[in-house]
Amino acid sequence: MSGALIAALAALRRMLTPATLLLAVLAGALAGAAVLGLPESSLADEVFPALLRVLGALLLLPLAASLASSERAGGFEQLVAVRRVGSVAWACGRVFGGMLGAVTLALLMAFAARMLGSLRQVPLEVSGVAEGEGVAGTTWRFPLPAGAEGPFDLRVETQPLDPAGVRLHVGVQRSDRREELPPVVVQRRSALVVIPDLAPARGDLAVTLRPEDQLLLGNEPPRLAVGTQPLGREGLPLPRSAAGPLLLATLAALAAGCAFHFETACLAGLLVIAMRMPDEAAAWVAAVLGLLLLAVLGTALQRRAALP
Amino acid sequence: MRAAGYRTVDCGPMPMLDVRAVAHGYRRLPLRRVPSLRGVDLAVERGECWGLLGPNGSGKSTLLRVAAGLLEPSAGQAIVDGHRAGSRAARTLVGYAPDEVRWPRTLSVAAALHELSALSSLGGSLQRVEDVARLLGLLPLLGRPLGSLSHGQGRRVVLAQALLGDPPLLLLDEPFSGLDSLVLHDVRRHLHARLADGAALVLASHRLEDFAELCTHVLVLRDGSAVRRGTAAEVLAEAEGRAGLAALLGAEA
Repeated sequence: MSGALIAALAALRRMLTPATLLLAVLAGALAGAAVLGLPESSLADEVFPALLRVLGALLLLPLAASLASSERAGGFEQLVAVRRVGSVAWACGRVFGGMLGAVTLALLMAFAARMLGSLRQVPLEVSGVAEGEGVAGTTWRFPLPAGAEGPFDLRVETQPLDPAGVRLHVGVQRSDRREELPPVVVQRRSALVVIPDLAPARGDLAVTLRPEDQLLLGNEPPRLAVGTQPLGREGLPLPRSAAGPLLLATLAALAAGCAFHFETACLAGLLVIAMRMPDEAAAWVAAVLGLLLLAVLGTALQRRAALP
Repeated sequence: MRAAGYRTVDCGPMPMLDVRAVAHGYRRLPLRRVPSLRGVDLAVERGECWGLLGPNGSGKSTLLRVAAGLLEPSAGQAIVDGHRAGSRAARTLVGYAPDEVRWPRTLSVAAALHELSALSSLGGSLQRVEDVARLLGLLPLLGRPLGSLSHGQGRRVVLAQALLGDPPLLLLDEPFSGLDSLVLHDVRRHLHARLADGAALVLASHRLEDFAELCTHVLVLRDGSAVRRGTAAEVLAEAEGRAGLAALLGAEA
């Protein structure tokens, strides 16, 4: 077995301990719980990647920074330094093993976060189908799923021309039962109207919207919330945009840990994650190669105690 | 004093360890170095055991670290069987036991020894680890995490990793501290056998009985300088009694 492979397996074993695996699950559970507690489910798209990035950095950067630096501080590194493995193999091995461990922990964290966060209930909405338009207003038909019970929330895109508010008249019909609702005063770009169930009438629901002159309706059909459903894992996709900076920062902490103290290595990781990530692939390759070079040089110099 | 059963071996032209005028200083401030070794010479032939004697801070551990290739001397050089100390060829010949190691806490004894064995020989065998573990009474502890070991048990693991792979040059820093009597007896017997097989041994210790048991020669260090060298019998005879020892170490009688 080559020295690099042995060093990689050793680093992987250091990264993936019961404690770190548990921490990753707990961090993921925290992110998932935060998604559950969001006031608006639509915020999950922005909050979920940010949470994973912050919690991932809190988990991975100290682990990566301590991989080499703690072994040096404890004297274990010198037991390896007097052995046959070369500095290139040793550095590349522990960086590769450390990265593999970090990716595993990050995936475990994301898995736990998605498992929990996907339980969040989001509105189950049906879009209205235009039935007719006339002087009496536009009528939209909403096919209701079986068992759906009202009252229902109807969301309508609007554009009031009078900032003081414009009235929207709403009529509801279900089967042979019809009801005219009190007008809704609209001041924003969307209006929320509570539609009664009209029990015992069953079947599709028809809603007629009659805006006054100073109110324009949007092009999108209105949506009726007919219940709730779990967000699901597809509602919380893996945040690939957060993965790149997090892994590059982890690599920076690993490489800096080969040369410097724990605090310096943590700082290196934080600096990288705070930087704007390059768009060009060549810049990424250069960054990775530069960090690998830092790891190799750091390892070679440290094994001869040539760094302060 | 030579060990019982010692046999003459073909030494060849080159010492196993050749330390020539080595100097080293630790950086304390950017522009200031505190000297820890001042031009020390030491030549260790195969089959010889040199003891390093000296008060705390005299440079014993530093000399071992230079010989192991862990410290770059500021002057002079250390040669291991013709190879510069710290070079890849030299590293394959050295077994080094530092005076203290804080082990990764969650790693098991077996995992640590296998890892270091594999890094030593790039193909470390299970049998070799078990042999060393048996010698040092570590067999019952192989599955234990290193963080749960007592000081003495941890010392045994430090010694075990140095003996892995039967390196021809052993550099042992306070190797016997914390060992119980039975293990101490077995280890001394093992080291006698290794010396008889032509290995070279350098050990730093505060205990004169370690020198009496094992060493063929003794080097006395004081403030980083070699102040006395000779056969173990000669030096230990000088060190008899408190006054003799104090005179040798440069302390007040």
